[in-house]
Amino acid sequence: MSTQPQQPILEVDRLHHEYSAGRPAIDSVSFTIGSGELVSIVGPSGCGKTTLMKSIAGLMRFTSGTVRLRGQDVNDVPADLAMVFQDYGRSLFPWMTVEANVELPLRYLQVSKRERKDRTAHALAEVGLSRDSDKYPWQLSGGMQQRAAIARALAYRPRLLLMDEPFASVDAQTRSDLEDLVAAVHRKHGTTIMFVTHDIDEAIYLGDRVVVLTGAPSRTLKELPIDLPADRDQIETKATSEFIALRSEVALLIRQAVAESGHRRTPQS
Amino acid sequence: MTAAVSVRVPSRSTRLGRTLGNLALHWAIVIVALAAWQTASTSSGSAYFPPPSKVFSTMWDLLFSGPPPLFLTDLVLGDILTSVWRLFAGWAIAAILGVAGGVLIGSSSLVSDLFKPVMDFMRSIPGPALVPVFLVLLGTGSEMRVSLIAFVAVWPVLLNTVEGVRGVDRVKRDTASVFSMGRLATLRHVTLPAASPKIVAGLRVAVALALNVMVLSELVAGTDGIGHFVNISQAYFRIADMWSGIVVIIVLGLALNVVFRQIENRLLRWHADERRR
Repeated sequence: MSTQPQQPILEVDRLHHEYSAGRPAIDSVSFTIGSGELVSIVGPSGCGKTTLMKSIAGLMRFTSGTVRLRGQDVNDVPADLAMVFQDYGRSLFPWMTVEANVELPLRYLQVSKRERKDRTAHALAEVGLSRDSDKYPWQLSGGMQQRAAIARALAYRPRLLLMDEPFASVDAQTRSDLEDLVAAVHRKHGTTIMFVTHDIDEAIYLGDRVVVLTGAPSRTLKELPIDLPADRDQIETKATSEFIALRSEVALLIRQAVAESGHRRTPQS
Repeated sequence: MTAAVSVRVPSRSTRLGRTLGNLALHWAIVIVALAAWQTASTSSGSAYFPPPSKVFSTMWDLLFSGPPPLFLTDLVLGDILTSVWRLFAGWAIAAILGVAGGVLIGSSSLVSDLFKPVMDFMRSIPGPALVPVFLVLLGTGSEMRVSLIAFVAVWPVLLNTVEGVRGVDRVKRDTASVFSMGRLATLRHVTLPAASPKIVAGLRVAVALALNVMVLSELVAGTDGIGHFVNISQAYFRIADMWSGIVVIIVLGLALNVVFRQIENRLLRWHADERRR
């Protein structure tokens, strides 16, 4: 978990987006993600995190700025990118078994049938769903559905994994379990992950770095390196003085960001 | 923490018991209705309303008094088979054109909006009103009848397909994009399955319409088919034959419904289960 981005996988430079002219959703966001890094993007709710995510994933066109994935401008959906959506219930396909869901995207990669089956089985084992592979998504609990979505992303072996508030709609216990799952996967495979969340603890606990955004129209407020040991524990790590200091720092930044965006908005309305 | 959510389903034996109970009740009602028909028509003595016993025995003779080994009559092998073939051909054409057209139109919200009034207008045309037009254009052969069936049955399929395709969840479409599934793969694995409940509902309406139009087209300027048989029997005052033909049409409609429900249950099991959750 180096904090030095070596060769950047993702470069976002002065990304700016307006849904309608003169009303920007994103003012100017810039950051980079190095190979093998897990970068948390945190900001007050409604700060355009989903817009940012969709711009990077090539799902929508942004007004100006650049997004480069491995040096290439993102215009269309990049091939080596996967995403875990917040709404697992809507992102999994209910007409397919869990296994088929995980395997489906692999069919359109240049991958032999055997490797496809292999990758699917491994990914399902990794998230602890081996025994549920024949079930349909709606037969599983929310946490397990999100595990299936994570398995689908892992089996795809993306250069960059986008996670859009993936645990915002599961209960607290499931949430910590899933956080540890992401941390373990990141450590084991060195997957490069952009993790969008509005939860400060989650952002720090998982991140090698945390990028703090202001409220809408959002700007990059600050980047913080997280110098916590790589092996983290839900209870111990969160009790360390470093963690608590980081938490206060980010919380203060966000409070400041909310106040600032309030000020900026007043003259408009 | 990750226990599967168990769905409370009544045990197999309870369900079976209930199904058998319902089945018994259904048949009891049918038998009572037949008995009422029998007494009413026997006591009235009207020539136009023969009792069911007469209708069914006539029907049996009409259908199964043919040569061995199948004992099927010319009526079955000629008129009924012709009718069923027309019905199926017309419906199949409607299904293919309706789904293909619906996918094309439904892929764009602009195109869907543009075509909506036209499609609503076309759907509102009653089949019978078009018989003269089709007679003029295509004569009195099977082509005319199959075309008319297809023309009337295509609209519900088309409209439902457009609606189904338009209604595919944004997150599901985004998922397919993010994983770089191409257009065809998305169509096959995401759009069509997601729209299938609507499409199947349209196909079902289309079957009912197809049956109606099939009979109607054979009543008018027909030379064969079950509708023609009913018409001819009436003209020659063979009242029991006429009623037999009507019963055959009813049974055909019921059979189509049962077959369709079976296909629907197979194809859309995920949909029913997901909603029941």
